[in-house]
Amino acid sequence: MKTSNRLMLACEGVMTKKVRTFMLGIGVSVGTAALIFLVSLIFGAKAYVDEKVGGIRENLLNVGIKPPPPHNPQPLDDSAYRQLLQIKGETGEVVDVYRELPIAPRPYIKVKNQPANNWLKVVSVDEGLYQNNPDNPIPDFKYRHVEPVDESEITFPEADETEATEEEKDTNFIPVIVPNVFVEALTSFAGDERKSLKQFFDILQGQEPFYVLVQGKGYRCKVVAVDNTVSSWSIAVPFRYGEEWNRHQGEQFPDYKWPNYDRFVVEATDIKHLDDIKEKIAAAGYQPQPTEAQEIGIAVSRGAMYLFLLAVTFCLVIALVSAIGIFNGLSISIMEQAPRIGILRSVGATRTDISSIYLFEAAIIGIVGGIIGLVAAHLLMWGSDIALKDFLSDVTNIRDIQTLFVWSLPEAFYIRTGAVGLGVITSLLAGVGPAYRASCLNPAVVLREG
Amino acid sequence: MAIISLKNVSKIYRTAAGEQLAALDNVNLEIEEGEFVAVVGESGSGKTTLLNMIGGLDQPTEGSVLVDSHDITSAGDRELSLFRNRSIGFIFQSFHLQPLQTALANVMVPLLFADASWPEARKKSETSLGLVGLADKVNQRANQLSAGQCQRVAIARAIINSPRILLADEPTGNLDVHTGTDIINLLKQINMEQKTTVLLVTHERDVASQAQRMITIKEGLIISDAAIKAEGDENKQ
Repeated sequence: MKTSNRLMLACEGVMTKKVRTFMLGIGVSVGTAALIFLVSLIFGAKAYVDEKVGGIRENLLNVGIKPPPPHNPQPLDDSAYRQLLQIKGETGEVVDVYRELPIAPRPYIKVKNQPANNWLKVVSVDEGLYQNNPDNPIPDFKYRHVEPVDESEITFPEADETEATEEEKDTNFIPVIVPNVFVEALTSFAGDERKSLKQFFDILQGQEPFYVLVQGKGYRCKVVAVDNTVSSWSIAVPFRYGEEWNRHQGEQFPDYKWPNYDRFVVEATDIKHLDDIKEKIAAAGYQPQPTEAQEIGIAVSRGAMYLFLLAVTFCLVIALVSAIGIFNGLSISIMEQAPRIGILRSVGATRTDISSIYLFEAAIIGIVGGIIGLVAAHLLMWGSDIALKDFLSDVTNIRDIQTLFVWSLPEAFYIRTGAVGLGVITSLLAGVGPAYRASCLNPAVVLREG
Repeated sequence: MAIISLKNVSKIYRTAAGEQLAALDNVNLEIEEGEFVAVVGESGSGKTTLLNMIGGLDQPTEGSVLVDSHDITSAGDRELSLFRNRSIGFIFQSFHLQPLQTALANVMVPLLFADASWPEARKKSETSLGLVGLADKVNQRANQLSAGQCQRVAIARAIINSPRILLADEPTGNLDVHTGTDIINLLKQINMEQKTTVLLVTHERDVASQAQRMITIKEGLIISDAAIKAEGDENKQ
């Protein structure tokens, strides 16, 4: 028997019980819609976070002090710096090594209308780390001489008092880089904090200066970039300031034991060599670690994977319930249609023909349910996207979300076809038992009883 | 030459209580090609079982059923299905039509299993419906037809593949006397014109008397098998 004829008889069977087919398809629709909705949301939200976290420079590696015991800690000093550069020379796999120097004692930071405080750590970093970033080079991050003012003479002119043209010409500031997670943390505040949030935004966007106070002197600073290589709750200035400021502090505190570098950042030519480089750094007595941005990326990926597994589990439960429904529905249908099966057998249907016809019926239920689910998922995502964006905009001040769902190809295509395919497969699997039972019916018996 | 030959055929059912019940008991029967045979007997006597054995819908517990010298009891599912599709036409008491389908779609079903093309199937179905006098009801749904018309559609479906054997199980059971007579006349016409062997199961003696030969079954045994003299023959004598 031709497949098209089997399909025609299956359609005939489905059309004789439209309501039941629709009700069975609803189960598949719910599962399909839920799967598309949840997976699109998880991956869409992850894509947004990834974008905000920025191009994570995966070829970077932090190098810190190896914790004792049993290891003897190697200080992160100039000899360590040279040693790491030599590793670069030996392997040919390391592009460069950047130093991060903490400024100690921790300087105070003075922001307009706020008391000075030292809750942010100030570090100085080799400029090359940012200037050599292929994805986001920051050429402004370089040393320039800035004349400090006495702490008592620090003023913050009102925004409207500063001419735009003068603002554009303004070069009398130290460039500062802050971490983007820091921005995200700040932007998540809301409510009564809006006014101060506005000020934070202005600072972060380099529109409002602030001062770093070292030895009673205020250095005018502006944020020039947000970058993921800067540690949380830190701000980074060009390396030479760290050397200068620590020298000034040294004059004040001659007996103070000055810290070594906070960390080194090793840049590899290729992410594929990182493991090899890690081993060599560890063998030299240091502690290789992923960068904070990489850890955030890993955490986001891991979180997304857990949510994905949760969504898949949820959808599998729906699929199981749907499968049970389809199994029962088809079983009842076969009992009701037993005389039809008998007549088909009497006019020449083989057992294979009968089972194929009922498998086609199951597939039709799956396809119809899947398509309904697909349409429902799109409507749901469209509505939810608007609602979620409004909600997040209201409660968090995040206003730059394009979408929280996956709409772009080819990912959207894979998610949707995968979900519809799962619905069809579920239906088919649920239909195997009833289809087999239908093929095993004795035509003589069902014709007599029908 | 016998087109149907049953040799020592028995069919034993096992009841729910575990008892054995012989629907057919060592039946031997031969039916010649082109014969119009009526099988009569009370309900439960084994008439339908006999018909199902010959049509390959059921398997005997013992014995063999030969159709056109082929033993269908040893045939596989595919072979039996092909046999039913090509050589056998079934007519049932309750018609077994798809109520929401048109007469044409109902008649066409056997052709779907014969891999006929759509235009060919349509043409043959229309011809078949014309033969049973329903040329004007082609696109009428089965649930819009009278009982007599439904049985005609069922007959059209049974003869669409020009089978050599027609097996009619109580074809007049759900019809009034007048319509029943029409149906029997139609079967006789098919038997005469197409030389189709017709095996008619009925419990009505009047209906059975329209056949050329009457076989009486009681409790699974053939108790009589005799030719029926036509009215014309009696007058001649």
